[in-house]
Amino acid sequence: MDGPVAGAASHLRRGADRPLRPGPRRRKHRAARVARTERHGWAVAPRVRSGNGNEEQGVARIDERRAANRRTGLMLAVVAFAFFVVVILKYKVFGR
Amino acid sequence: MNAGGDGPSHDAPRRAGFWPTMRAVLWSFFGVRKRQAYLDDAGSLNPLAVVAAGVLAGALFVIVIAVAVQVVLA
Amino acid sequence: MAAVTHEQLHGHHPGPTGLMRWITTTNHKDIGTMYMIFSFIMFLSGGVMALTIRAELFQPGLQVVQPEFFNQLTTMHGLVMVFGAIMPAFVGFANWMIPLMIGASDMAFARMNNWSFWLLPPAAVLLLGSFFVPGGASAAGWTLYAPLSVQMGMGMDLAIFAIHIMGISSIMGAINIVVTVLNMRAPGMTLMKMPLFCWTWLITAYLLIAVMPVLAGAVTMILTDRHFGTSFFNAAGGGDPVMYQHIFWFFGHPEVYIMILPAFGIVSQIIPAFARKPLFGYASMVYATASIAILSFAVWAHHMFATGMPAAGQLFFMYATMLIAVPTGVKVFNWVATMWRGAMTFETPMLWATGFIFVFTMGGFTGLICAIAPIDIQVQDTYYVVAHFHYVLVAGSLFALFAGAYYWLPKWTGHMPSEGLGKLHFWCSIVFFNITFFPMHFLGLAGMPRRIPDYALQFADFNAMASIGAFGFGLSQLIFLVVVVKCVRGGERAAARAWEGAEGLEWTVPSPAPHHTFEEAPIVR
Repeated sequence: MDGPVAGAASHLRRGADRPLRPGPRRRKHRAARVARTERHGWAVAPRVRSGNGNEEQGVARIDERRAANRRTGLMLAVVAFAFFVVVILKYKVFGR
Repeated sequence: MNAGGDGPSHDAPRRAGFWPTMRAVLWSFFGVRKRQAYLDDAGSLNPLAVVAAGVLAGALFVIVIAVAVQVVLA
Repeated sequence: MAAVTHEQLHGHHPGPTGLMRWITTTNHKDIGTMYMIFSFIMFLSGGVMALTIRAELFQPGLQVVQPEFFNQLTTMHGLVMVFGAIMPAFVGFANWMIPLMIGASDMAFARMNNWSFWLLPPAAVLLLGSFFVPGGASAAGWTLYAPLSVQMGMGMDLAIFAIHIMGISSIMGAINIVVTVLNMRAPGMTLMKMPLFCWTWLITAYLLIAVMPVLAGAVTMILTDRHFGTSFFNAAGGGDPVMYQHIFWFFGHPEVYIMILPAFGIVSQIIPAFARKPLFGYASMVYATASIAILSFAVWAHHMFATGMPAAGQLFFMYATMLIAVPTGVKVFNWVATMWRGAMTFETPMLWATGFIFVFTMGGFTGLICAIAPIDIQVQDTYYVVAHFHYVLVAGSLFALFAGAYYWLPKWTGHMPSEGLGKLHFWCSIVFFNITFFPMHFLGLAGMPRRIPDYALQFADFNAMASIGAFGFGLSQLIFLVVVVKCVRGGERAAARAWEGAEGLEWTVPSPAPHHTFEEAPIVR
């Protein structure tokens, strides 16, 4: 239980509140693209650059993001299922 | 509180202590927050800590009302 | 580069066509559209039930339906509207708009998204099909209170399974939304820059994950009581029927917020757009939404003041309920403050949004009146309560849904909805809505109980008025159907930013939004 929770927590932090992009206007776009692929590996990035050797790396990043999604999703599903079980097993909690 | 927050390439620090987190949650119960305080929160609060503080403050809310009810009924 | 990228990305595009396209789609826009069509069909089905109810209540005595069938109608009207119309409609909005608003290419779990939707039609078939089984549909009221729900025929089982399936669908949808909002935001789109609609849906999704399993547990216990010899709620076997009410309302009260928080989100998008001012107190709005989510778990027994609670319990839930009105009041204040000295225009979405504030606030205040335990003991199970929750759910959730639909129809269809028909729809709806539901306050205060097919003579005039209003309101909704069909088929072309004051990433993509958007994540300053 500790693993997925910790994983999700770090991912949550990573996803939130990314700082503003600094630097001169001309370079903003490129800097952001680099930052983006480092953080997220958006599906489109490696395809746009296909042929320049980034392909494998890109696939790895997609997997990374999918794994992060799956981790968060599974954690939430476990929570939901736990509520379901707890309500039935511990129904006396709400009794008088 | 925001030391190091200027660095663009790494995440903002998440080291708000117990009381700033509690304070943010308690303000939420009133439903009002100053913009500057909110920006500070945005930069410093840890989401999981906020969830924990929310549950704690919820329990506190229940206790306070329960005590108030006891006082009224006494 | 754009053209090359486009080619590469869409080379594989011609997939299944016709019906198979919709059955196999994983596109968030397709799925959002299906959710909304589904919910509109269910809205019309629930509406027909409501009109049958109102036809019966037009005059005292029994004219149109038998009492047994009347009870089935009230039950199914509630279930269909809550689980079939309002909730899926908001999920449809979330599917369409959240990826567009946060700059994501799709939802996090695209295939699960397809499954979430396609669970709904079978559930609807179970629910509506239960009218045709021996004994008819469930007639225990939408709350499915024991002991009635432990005793009924197989229509009750079908309703239980339908609720199970819709619950699974809701939970999967909620997980999808949480993960999408947390993990799929475009670079620079921090949580605190997110449009309020995404915030309200994030918090709503957490509420769904927390309480839908509780409802599933409650109906599962009814099921085992009915068929497998348990006695959770069966007093004859040592069970406690009141415990069912506690469990149900532990789900039911957060459910109220599940149905209203996304509505708050939609209105918070529309008011700034047509007041041409940023939302007043964005931070406060986020905080208020979060606190409503926490506090909504501590007020459930205000639905049960008449079940014989100790005085301490009554006072506790009365105080807690009145306090939860504070953050809600802050929201109303913020909307009004957003409009204050704004350059306002009243296009159709804004009309619905302002109408929402006006009428929803009335529902909020009658809620406060019901929260006062001694008053609630007088009005509980009367038409006062019916009036209250229709002011909240129709004038709240439904009006906000219409506001959102008119606001984003240009983005969905590429055409502007007809202003004339939209305004007609609004004015007919708000006038007939009040004709229908305002007299119910008086009926309730005079003591007319809810869920009955016949009533004493002194209630006749207000009931006749309410029935006339109900038919007016029901027929007015067909105007919306006409508007949407016209808008899909043609009309004035919509610009990317269809409304002058509209802000947000969704207005940076063309109208209609292309099938695939933000495959290359946008950069948010």
